[in-house]
Amino acid sequence: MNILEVKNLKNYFHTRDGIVKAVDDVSFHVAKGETLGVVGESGSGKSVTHLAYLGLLPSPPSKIESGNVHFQGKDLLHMDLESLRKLRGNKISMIFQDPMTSLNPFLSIKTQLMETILTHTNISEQDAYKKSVEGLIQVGIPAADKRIESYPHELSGGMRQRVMIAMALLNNPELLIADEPTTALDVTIQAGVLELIDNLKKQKGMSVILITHDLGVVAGLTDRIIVMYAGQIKEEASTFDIFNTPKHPYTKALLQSVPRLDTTKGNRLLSIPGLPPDLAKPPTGCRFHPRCPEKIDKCDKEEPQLKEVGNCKVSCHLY
Amino acid sequence: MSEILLQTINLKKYFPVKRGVFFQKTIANLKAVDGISLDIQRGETLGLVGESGCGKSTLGRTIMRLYEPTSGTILFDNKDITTLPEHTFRSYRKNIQMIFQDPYASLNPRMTVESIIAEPLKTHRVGDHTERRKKVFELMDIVGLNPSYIRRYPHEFSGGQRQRIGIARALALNPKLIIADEPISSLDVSIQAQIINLLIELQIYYDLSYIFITHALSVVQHISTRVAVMYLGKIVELAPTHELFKQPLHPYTEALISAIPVPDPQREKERKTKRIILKGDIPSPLHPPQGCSFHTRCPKKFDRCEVEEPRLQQIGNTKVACHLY
Amino acid sequence: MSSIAKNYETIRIEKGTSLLRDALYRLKKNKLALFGLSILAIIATASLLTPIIAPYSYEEQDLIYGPQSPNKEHIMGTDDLGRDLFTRILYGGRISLMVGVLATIVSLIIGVLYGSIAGFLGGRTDNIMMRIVDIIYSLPFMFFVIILMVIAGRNIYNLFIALGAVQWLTMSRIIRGQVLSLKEKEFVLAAKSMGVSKGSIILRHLIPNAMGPMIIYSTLTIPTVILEESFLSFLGLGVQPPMSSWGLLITDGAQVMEIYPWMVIFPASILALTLLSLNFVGDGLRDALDPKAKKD
Repeated sequence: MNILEVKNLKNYFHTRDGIVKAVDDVSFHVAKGETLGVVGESGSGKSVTHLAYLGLLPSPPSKIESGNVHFQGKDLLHMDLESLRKLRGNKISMIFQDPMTSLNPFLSIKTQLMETILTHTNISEQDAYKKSVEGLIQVGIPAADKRIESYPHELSGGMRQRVMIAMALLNNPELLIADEPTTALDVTIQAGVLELIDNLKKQKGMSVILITHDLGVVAGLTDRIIVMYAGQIKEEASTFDIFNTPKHPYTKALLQSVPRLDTTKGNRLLSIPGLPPDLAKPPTGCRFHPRCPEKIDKCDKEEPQLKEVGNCKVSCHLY
Repeated sequence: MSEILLQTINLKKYFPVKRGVFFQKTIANLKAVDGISLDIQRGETLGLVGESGCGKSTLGRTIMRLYEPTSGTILFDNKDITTLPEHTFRSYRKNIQMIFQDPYASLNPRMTVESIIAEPLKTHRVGDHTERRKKVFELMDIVGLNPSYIRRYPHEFSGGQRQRIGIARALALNPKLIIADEPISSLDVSIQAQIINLLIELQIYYDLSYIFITHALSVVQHISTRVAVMYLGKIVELAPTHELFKQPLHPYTEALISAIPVPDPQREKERKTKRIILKGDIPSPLHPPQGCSFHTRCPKKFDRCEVEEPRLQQIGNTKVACHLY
Repeated sequence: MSSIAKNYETIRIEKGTSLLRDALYRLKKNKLALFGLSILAIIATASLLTPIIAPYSYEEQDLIYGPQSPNKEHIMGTDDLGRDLFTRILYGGRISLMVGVLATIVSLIIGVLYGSIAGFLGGRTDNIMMRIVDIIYSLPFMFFVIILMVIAGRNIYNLFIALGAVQWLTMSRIIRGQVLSLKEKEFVLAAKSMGVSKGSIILRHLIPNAMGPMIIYSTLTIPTVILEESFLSFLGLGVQPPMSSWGLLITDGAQVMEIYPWMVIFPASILALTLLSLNFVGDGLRDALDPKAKKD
């Protein structure tokens, strides 16, 4: 069963320099209990897509132009703001990249955790406190009953991210959206946080959307992957297929352009020439064609559609 | 054939933590760099890795004399440059240049690309205006920027292009050594490869040596000849790259390497089972632990580690600071 | 890598847009700021051309009818000594604007140099320099100006210096704050690593980047200084009749407000209009120079 279904979502920004097509006809779904990886570079729309249907983008300049988004059968785009707000932080939770800016520096961890519970449920303050401490224990914070009194600046980066995760999970969400959850953390801390997310997901049976630019992170954690480029989905396949039989030239290039620990040292990395396009003036046809090594005549004229090829979905004229 | 270009001996940089309004008293020392001895051979790349707060950037900046060293010696071409006064040191600055992490912050937004790249030339009074302009054209061409953009301002370029401007500026004085402080970590994945390739090409072309400071081990493995791993201001392991990655000796290095996710789902599954996940956080460099500074998180810790500080010792080609050896 | 021996003479250099030009572009879109700017332009031209456009001389008296309300000969009426009010407002504007602009420039020069040196050198030097500012701050500043005026003698140039000498305190604090955050930026480190001298770093790297707050604070200093000059004139320390300033005219007019209201209405409205315009421009500049506003 699909918990989230997004169909033909378009979200544009109306700016001084013209209309920026940040999310352009994006469709995907998330099944119950599944972890979906969303991979892309900055400006690919990998975060904006999710902020858009959750109503978290300032409007203007942002505007949802068209599309359908259903969460557990409920239409998110036509929901009133109040119900959408109730859904966020309750059924759908988010973790952001920088835990320092997502926590309020003036309030103690306790206040912030309890507030999250009390805004969404009608339980007593005592129960809320108990739940908060339990939440912290769950994410592996030592001496949780003491730590809960501290303020964000008294905690290290890894601890803060754990607090953020605890906060996101307090109301037992059905869907957790993690936007670059470990990018600001050191590698040895990252490993722990990723394992934590994975364990909690299995325990609670929730679905996870993991947004990241790090191919290594998605490899170990996700079931399925979406590769985004310039506001569009270029490829969608199971994690195994993406890494072993990538189809889209962009996916292939991306995989070969990162230095990796497990391969022998080569002299040159394959690099993708050029720059991601300006989304106010995207190239005609396929948006990747100016940088594509396998470009054919058709690419700069006709925009490819996402179509099924075997077990995958690819948006490329080669298939 | 190996010729030592730069050497540091027991280099220390402490930042005093002060209290008081008029008569400030030093109440503690933040030991950012605590007794580092290493050398850089001509033409090699020394990778300097470690997590945030380990002092790797401070070490780079101390070598550059952006921070005055607290004690220890820096030798460049066998000459002691540690305490040279600024006006004599200036002539050495030409030989050592720096590339910075954030291409948005490292270029003055009010200056044109031409004045940014020509600033080192102007400062060291190289050439006249026309000669300098020609040199700027040449440098922009080499780093892969369109020379007709010299009158543009930094905000008109993308992150990767800005980093190229920073590289052109570092090359302007024909340095022998470039200290690259996280030069790719704020760039997009597809751009990172472009910059890494450029740095490697430039190294061959100009016979450069690099100190490559980064937290990304996979990049270090790709680009360096030797790697030094730092933890809390000290080097815990220094080894030729392939040996370090094949057989790390220090438990910290081992954990660091095992923690990196690999972009391959099958191998990642295997690695996950063997992954060493360190307990706790990095201690504050203001109050480093007694004995071995890693003992609070070390999975292989024994009694001696808490009392006695291990010294860097040679084992084969590797130098390691650990009581296990 | 491409070959080095290239002919660069054929390169057609493209021009870039500086941040300042970008800011001007945004300023042009701000209607209120444009309105303010055009009002200021009109007032400034009028003051510059005063000797030519003024209908009368500033000391010429028309005593036959006594104070006149606005009429054909005197569009803003005359004052109690029969002098044409419009002429006096024009001449007063010259003084008020000059005091405002010059005192601001004085405060800008002292404040920027002092603040950037303190901020850049930091440590003990900064500590001592800023405590000096604190001490001067704690003196009642009008008292301070009055003493300066008494010691240095009462003339218009001393007035500029006295007012500027008080206003630079805030300017230096603002600049110091800017410099403190700017000097940690990597481009300053980069300059240091190349061996660029301290003076050059301050002049080429720090001050140009503190330009935004500098301009904005200056537009806010001008009205403050104009008001202070009015106050000093009221105390008899500023400009003396038959020369006038807006402050002086308002003070004079206020005394006879109930009988000859036009004598206060006209100078007060012009002053208010000028201050309002300056504030619009200041606000507009702040928005235009704020890089965060760049996206929309």
